[in-house]
Amino acid sequence: MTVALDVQAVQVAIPHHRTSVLAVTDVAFTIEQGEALGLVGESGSGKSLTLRALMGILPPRTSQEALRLSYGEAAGHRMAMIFQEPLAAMSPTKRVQDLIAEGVMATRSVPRRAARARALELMAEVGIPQPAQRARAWPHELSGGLRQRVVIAMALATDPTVLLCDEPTTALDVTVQDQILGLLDQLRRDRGMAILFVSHDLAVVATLCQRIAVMYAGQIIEVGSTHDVLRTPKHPYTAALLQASRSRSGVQTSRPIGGSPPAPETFAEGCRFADRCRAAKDVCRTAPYRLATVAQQHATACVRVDELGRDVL
Amino acid sequence: MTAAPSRAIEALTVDGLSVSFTVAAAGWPRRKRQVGTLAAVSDVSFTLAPGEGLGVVGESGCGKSTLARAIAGLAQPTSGVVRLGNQTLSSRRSRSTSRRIQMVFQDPASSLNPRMTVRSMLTEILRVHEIVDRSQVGQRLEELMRMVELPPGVLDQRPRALSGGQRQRVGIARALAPLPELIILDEAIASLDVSVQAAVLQLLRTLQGELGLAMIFISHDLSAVRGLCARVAVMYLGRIVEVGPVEEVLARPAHPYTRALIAAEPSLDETRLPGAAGLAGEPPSAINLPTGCAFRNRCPVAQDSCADSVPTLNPDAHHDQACFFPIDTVVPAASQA
Repeated sequence: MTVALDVQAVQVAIPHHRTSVLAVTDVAFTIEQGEALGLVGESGSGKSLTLRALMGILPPRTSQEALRLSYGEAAGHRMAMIFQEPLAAMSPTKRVQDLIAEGVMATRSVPRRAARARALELMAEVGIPQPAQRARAWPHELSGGLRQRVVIAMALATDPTVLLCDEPTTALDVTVQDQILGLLDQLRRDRGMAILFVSHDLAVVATLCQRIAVMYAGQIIEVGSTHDVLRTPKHPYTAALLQASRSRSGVQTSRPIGGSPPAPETFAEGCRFADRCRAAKDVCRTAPYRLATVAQQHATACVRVDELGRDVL
Repeated sequence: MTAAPSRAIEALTVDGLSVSFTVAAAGWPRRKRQVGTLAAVSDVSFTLAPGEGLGVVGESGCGKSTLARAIAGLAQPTSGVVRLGNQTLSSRRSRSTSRRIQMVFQDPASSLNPRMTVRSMLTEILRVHEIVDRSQVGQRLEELMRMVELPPGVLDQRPRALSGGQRQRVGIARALAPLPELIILDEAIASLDVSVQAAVLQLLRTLQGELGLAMIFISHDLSAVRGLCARVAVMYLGRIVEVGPVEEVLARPAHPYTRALIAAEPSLDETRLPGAAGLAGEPPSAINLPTGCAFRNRCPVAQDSCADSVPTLNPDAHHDQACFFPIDTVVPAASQA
């Protein structure tokens, strides 16, 4: 397999009073061509900031302190991004065909007429029924699911090798969410495109992605194949998150994670989950962050992983 | 658990409830021209025993929130009645009847007054409804905080100082303060993080057991309903299309919409493929509903005759459903996950 995107370091600083603090500190991962990697974390974990730093669209007053990435050997590498709220990602003053054609013209030097024809092809590829009739529609005239399909077509217009997805299905209904996930999966297979999918919902990520990276307080604390992370989590936070997801359906009684995630200005030495972890010992508060491989393709930042029993993991 | 006076708890009956809105022409200048009628809720009937939990699931626009608001007296029904015990509740409620049904809303940040401390909002409710003697207000407030598992210090905070989970607990305390017989939770956990959702659901389960409250839990999320309610009603475009015991409906869905909803739900099973629900399109507009069965345009088993008349809820072998061609009792693979 060829590497589509190799991210060696991302650090993002956010404003805090008159100075700034690092909200994303330890993020590094690779994605192969035709692979979907899920980046999971609760609100405030830094997953969206990571994505925006990769795309170079950080919000005002935030800054990237470090960003090192390479694209492997993939030719014509390019990143494109889709968002949670499709209406906010589209200019309300352009018809959908022109929105998509814009991306085509930005990437290839083709005349407007050819770009518009390509836009129609892309609309068909993302499953918009009767593209010729919808071509002149305004974004506000479309339903939520169709809007998200148009945004995906806008992203595809630039022939991306990596598609960054920031919770693109969170605002959608379940049956429509399923359709969009199916579409992304099909595009991944047909185009050999790599997908980086950010979500707070483990179940959504488990459905779409082959590998999962779990973020907590600005760090990736566990990464592995979807199967391994779901069946044999190697970090107490991942285990607690899985249990919370399962207990929602009443199948298990939950043992809620006490407390709340630390704010960036209070990030301490050692493991940032230690204050909420039931298995924390003194060593957890001093050991530096390191993502250690515990099995093939499975790594964790928990320093006590070998000593932990089934009651924690 | 409560020192406050206990009151008789009675069953809720909803009979033939419909809520519709008239829709004016879009655009500017506004013309006083009626374009159509939006049937948000059509002919919904069900009963809820004291202490029972009913989940209402469906996609956005299916009328589940309007149904909740009509029951709580916040929306005016076009026809039909809401009864609590043998008292018929009109849409204009007196203070003593409005007390009996309380709501918890989706967004606790916008449903709590930002300028009031938790203590002053809850005190106001206790005073208005004359729940406890003036001298016992402080004691009752601490009791409410204990019930929703918040430290008493929260009483003197304003909503902005609280986290999302804490705010929703305050929202629940606010609903519990006037000693209701029924609380309606409208997407009450949808805006919370997964770990917080689990904790709030746990709290609701505890309260249900301790207080014997009847609950209507409105959600787009089947798995949350499964953990909290004994019965579930599935809504599509204003109508209940299937209703029955939760385990029963999830294991043996008779209506094709229920089956698609179950199949579309993401699960922690990594072998499940995305796009498995196989349901095309999106719900049509509720303004000009298709004739006959509203689901027929997306339905995988629709026949020509589905356009002829509106299907009504019929008792099936196991529970009530509203499809002319219900799926046999074959267990679909997706529901076993």
